[in-house]
Amino acid sequence: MIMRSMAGIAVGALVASLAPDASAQVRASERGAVSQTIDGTTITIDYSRPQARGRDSLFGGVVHWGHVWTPGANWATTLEINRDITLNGHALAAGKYSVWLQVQPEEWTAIFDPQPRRFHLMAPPKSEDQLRFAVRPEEVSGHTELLSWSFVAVRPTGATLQLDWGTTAVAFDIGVAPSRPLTVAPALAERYVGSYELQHQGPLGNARVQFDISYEHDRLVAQWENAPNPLLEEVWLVHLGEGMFVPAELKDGELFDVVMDLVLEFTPLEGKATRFEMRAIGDALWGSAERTE
Amino acid sequence: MPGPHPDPRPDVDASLVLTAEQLADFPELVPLYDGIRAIPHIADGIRCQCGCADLPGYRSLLTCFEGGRMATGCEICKTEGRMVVRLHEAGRTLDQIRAAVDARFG
Repeated sequence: MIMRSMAGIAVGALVASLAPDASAQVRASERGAVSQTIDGTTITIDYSRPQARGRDSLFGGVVHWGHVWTPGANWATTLEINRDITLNGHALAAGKYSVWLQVQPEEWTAIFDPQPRRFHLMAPPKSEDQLRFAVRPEEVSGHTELLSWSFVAVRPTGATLQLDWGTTAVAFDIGVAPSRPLTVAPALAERYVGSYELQHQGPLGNARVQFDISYEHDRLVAQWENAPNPLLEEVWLVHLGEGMFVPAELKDGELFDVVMDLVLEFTPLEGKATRFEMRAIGDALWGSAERTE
Repeated sequence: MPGPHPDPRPDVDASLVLTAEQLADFPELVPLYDGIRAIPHIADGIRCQCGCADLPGYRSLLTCFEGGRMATGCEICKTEGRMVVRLHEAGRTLDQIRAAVDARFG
């Protein structure tokens, strides 16, 4: 009796293992996802990926002018963000959205709808809680067979998210809030502004150089003589707290990178700072500075 | 923001901190381990910010310098350990050291 039951279980398991799994089947537009984290903000696009399959005139043809289309297939493409962002300068709160594009010959309308689960044939009606703004598609030289979302550029304060299909591309500029403020309150800045004589140490050599800190447009700006690389010659100082700052490298006046491995520790912790140490990875001492004015 | 710093155990000691003999392959780390060995009551009250605090058995920065050998290969453990030793030698209290650790690694 027991043997018969065991055999029955084995046959049942075999049949179950051969049964088709509804989620495991070849689809014309397979599901894909792309995700990017920038300074603690994670942006994820989840979408089904149609192929061009030799069809000409994807836009204005396969996707009719005026049609509100999800840039994907099957279930609507979704955008999920764990923190508030800006999209082409427009604020978008943390959450999950379905993504739609109303295509036109010249200018398209991007629509981010707060209901993420929508079938592609059921475009959302216009509503107050949607983010809508105009975008301009571009013709590109290369052909993208499989509809693709990708992060084509990543910066310390944002990224460029791009949709490519056929020879058409649409770029979205994403802005994220910095996890640490780049500005410093005047009362705090006053404690650090001044000129310092910095004695290089360790891998920086043993030169004695000038290190000047000024306050400009709510930011502490440091000019570092003989800095180890050109991007460190003029930096913003980002406040960590407890008298500590890290340099933020700039390119064309914009934030390029925050160098978390190089910490300036000012003392005393109260009142006007009179000295600082420069500490690198491993807490290695790379310099000691004394205020000169 | 990482989790809170642990409360140091009242009876904590440094008996499990690796010795110079156990660090034969890492002689450059012996001074750091000696520094931690001198302050188990401080190191046991600091959360390691490398992520190991979420592993089973890793209760504090002190753990990183014990048998699991975490600090022999982890730059964050080493950097945080040296900073803690240095700030303690400079006269900072446990709460002040925790604040500095949070500012730099949090």
